[in-house]
Amino acid sequence: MNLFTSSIITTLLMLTMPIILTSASTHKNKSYPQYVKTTVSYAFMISTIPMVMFLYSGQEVIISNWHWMTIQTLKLTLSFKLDYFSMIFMPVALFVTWSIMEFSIWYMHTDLNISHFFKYLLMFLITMMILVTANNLLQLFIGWEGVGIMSFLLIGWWYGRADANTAALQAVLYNRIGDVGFIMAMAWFLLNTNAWDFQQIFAIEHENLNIPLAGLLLAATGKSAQFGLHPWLPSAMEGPTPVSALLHSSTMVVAGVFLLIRFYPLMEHNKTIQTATLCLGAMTTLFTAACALTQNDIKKIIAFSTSSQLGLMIVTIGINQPHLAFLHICTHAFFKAMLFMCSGSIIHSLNDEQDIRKMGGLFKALPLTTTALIIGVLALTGMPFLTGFYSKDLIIETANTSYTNAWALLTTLVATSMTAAYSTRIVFFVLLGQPRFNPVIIVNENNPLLINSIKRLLLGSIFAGYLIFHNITPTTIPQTTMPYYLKMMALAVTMLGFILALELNSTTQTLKLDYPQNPFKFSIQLGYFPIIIHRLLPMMSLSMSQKMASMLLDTTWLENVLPKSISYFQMKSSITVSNQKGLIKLYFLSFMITLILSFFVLNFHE
Amino acid sequence: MLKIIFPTMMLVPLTWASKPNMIWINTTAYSLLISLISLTYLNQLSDNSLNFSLLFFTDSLSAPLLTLTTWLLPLMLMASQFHLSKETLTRKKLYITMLVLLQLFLIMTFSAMELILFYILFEATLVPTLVIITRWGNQTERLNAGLYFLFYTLVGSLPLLIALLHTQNNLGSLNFLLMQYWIQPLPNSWSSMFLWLACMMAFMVKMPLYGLHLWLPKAHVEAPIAGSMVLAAVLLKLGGYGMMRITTLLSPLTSFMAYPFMMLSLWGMIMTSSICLRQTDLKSLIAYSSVSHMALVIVAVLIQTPWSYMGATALMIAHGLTSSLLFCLANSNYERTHSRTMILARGLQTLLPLMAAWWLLASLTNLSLPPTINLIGELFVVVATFSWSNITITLMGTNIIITALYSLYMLITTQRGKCTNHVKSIKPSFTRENALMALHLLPLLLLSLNPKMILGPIY
Repeated sequence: MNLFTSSIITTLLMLTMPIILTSASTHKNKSYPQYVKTTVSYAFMISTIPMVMFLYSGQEVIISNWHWMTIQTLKLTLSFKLDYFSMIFMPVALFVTWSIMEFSIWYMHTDLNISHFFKYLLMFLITMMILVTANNLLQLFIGWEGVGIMSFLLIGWWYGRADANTAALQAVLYNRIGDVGFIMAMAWFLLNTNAWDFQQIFAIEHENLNIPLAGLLLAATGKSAQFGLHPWLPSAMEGPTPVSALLHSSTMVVAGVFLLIRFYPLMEHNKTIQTATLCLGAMTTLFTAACALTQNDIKKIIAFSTSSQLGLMIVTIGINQPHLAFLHICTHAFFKAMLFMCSGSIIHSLNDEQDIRKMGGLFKALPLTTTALIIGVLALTGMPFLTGFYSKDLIIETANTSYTNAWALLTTLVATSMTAAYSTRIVFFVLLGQPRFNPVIIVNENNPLLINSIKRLLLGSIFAGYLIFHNITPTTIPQTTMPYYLKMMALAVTMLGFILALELNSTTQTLKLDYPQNPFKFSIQLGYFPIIIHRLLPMMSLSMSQKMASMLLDTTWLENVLPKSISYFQMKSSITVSNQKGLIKLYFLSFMITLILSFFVLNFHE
Repeated sequence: MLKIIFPTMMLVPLTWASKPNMIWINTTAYSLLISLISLTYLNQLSDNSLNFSLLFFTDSLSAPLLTLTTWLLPLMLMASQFHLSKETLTRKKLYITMLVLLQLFLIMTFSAMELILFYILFEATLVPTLVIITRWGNQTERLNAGLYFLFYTLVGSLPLLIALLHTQNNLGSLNFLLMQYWIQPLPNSWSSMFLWLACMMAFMVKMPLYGLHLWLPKAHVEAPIAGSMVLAAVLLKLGGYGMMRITTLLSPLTSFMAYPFMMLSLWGMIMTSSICLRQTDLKSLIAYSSVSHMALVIVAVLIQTPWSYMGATALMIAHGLTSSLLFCLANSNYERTHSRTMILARGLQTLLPLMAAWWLLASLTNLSLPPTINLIGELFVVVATFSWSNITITLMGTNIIITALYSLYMLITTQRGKCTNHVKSIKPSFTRENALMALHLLPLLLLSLNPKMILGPIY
């Protein structure tokens, strides 16, 4: 097993090399991005060795390297957990990142700080690796927060724009709300199990785990943009497209789902939290799919589809199938990264145009991107035998046959059908029909950096699901037989979505709607969420802090009660008590009396 | 102990005898050497204390604070150079003398073995600080700030003197080391409550507790850079240090006398950090963030569990370095834009990218990014508070969120955005400034490799 641990350590160390050696003179030249990309690709290749070994032998390993400190009875070490999840996830993430980096060499080539950008991307990946391989909560938290901060830096990459800064701040704010849950869970585990190591936490029998699991669910809600804490994810589209691709595929947003997967030994016995998870996921997947239906920004549609897929993953955890959720994370990474790269290619070709109403007819101008986009969209909707099919179909089948509440199931099915609808919408508006963009634009996708990276993910989107699916060991035994209509349900709702969307789209060509319908308004306003939550709450809390905390309490009450009132009373009392009032005439007059008296006394003393 | 105290005293003649062009370099180098000596105190076993004489000792609670004090003097000297460049030579020397005196008093305060000696030195630190604030501050409001600073702390600490005299009368000694063996549990009576209040109030004002904190933003805003640095980094920690030392005297009473102060701190922590969200004045924002962080320390000290003490000590050191760093950064902005208003410095990242990196790191440590020692401190405090009462997690959580918000608000307002016209002709950042920031961050980062050193005696 020596090769196992050493190749993992090699992978992790290799990734840090470009950052550690950044000040060396060899890394200051223009080939730094190329160097980072190559490093990631080598890291991917090395990381497949332990993956294959793991799949062959199925042996979990924990590497415990460096003793950080021992506080009373709590021992904190730097330790890596190399189990099924981390061993599969690492090659997937590295593969996807490799392609994204190659893509961003092309996409960001005009940026002056491109080396800097690659450093950030790499650190983003490293923090995700820390998160995935962590064996204790503190180390997981380091990765968790690191991912959040790196996303802040990357979303706010174009810092001159106010929108980018707002989006970056939003991302941190929503994640921070989730972090409170994480910290609460940490505190609870420390108090009740006196351990932060996963093995020790799972080894102890617990009576009531509602508090820590609710904390972890809150953490996952923040990080994976579930309903309530979701608005940061579409806003994060302010960042460069490679960032969106990385953020939405293999890092950051799946971290929340990953956390819940890590804690499934505790969650599988707690029905309360499972139901909460199920409902939260179902609500998210429907709500964000509904929002995606009417968006006009191509990146926003894909962003909302990510949110919807994350909701589906959370639903899967809610029906107690963490391995399926994990499978969906892995398959989703391929086609989602590819979708973003396709949209990046389109946006770049059309001179930074993101509105799908101003595209159209691109299937002739951008053949490879079109191919990739269509395959990505089909994989997203769960077209049989593409990557998405293996996870999505299985999830919906399992949900259909499990004892779950019908509301959540129905919601998920409707959302699945909507996935097909908005996917059709992208294809319809972007690729088909007449070109609606400026004819002056010269569209060109013939750059090996672009083509190779998309091709690689294209292969992944077709085959990866099959490969990973055959190496998965389900936790709870899946239903082997089911009625015909349940088996076909997933496909049927998807087909329904396709047909409906196609019909609606052709209707819009001929018919004109009189006025915006209410559901349309709901969808295009993102469920009135930004208006209510982003206007009302900040206004309330900021005016509270100004009016109450600062003006009323600090500058009025506290100032008046202590210093001002004391000085006032001192002054008043000293004025009252003192016999020196500044009455100069009177004082001189009193001198007169003395003078006159002394005059009399001195002269008439006989 | 004398091997720090005497060299510190000799800094004064060094200052006055140095050639005009050498005063900064001589004093900085010399004080840096002193701080290197004090590093040796950090290395001690947990329940052992280094008794230097009948007057001075350090243990693992005071040693990190002591090292922080000595570490900060060279940094203060480095930070003040530009600010004093237009003053005459004598005044520069006087200023340095004041800083040296302050360090001398602080060292002796942190290592005093007798409570009365501690008290006298605690009060003595007011004098140089007051001189620094009221003489070298930038605006006329500095006089008012000095007044607030002096009277809040004096009024708070006079009852302590009486309480100490009373305790001396009862116990016969105020020696820290002996006290823990001689101490009797206080009877549950009204007079013991007043004793508790008298003992704690002095330190709570110094921390400062919410409600008694008005002097702090004023003093911070008006003080020159070195004054702000030392106030935030060390003088506030005197309060926390004193509280941790004196709670041994007040043993059974703290458990129920703590409630109102704990509530006040938990409430004030959120109030002050939400005030930060609305600040336009950079220094005032950092000052309020200090109040909010110190509220955590107060809560931790009042809970009195091993974890909370560890958290409090770690947080004090971490906050000392971070807030001092933030003040230095604020000052470097001030020297360029001549205003403390944040919005005037926006877009500086384009012009001063390295400074932006320091800003980023400072903000991240301020919002306690793992694995910095700020996080260790905060996490331990949160854990201790959570075990004290589960509901406090809502308040703590709100504070964590707001802390992140204002730290990043500060970062975004000063560094991000479009560059404005009036900053286009600013000076580049000096090596001196970059070294200053690096010397703040270096201990922060190194300590996160081995946080044991600053976890205090109960670790």
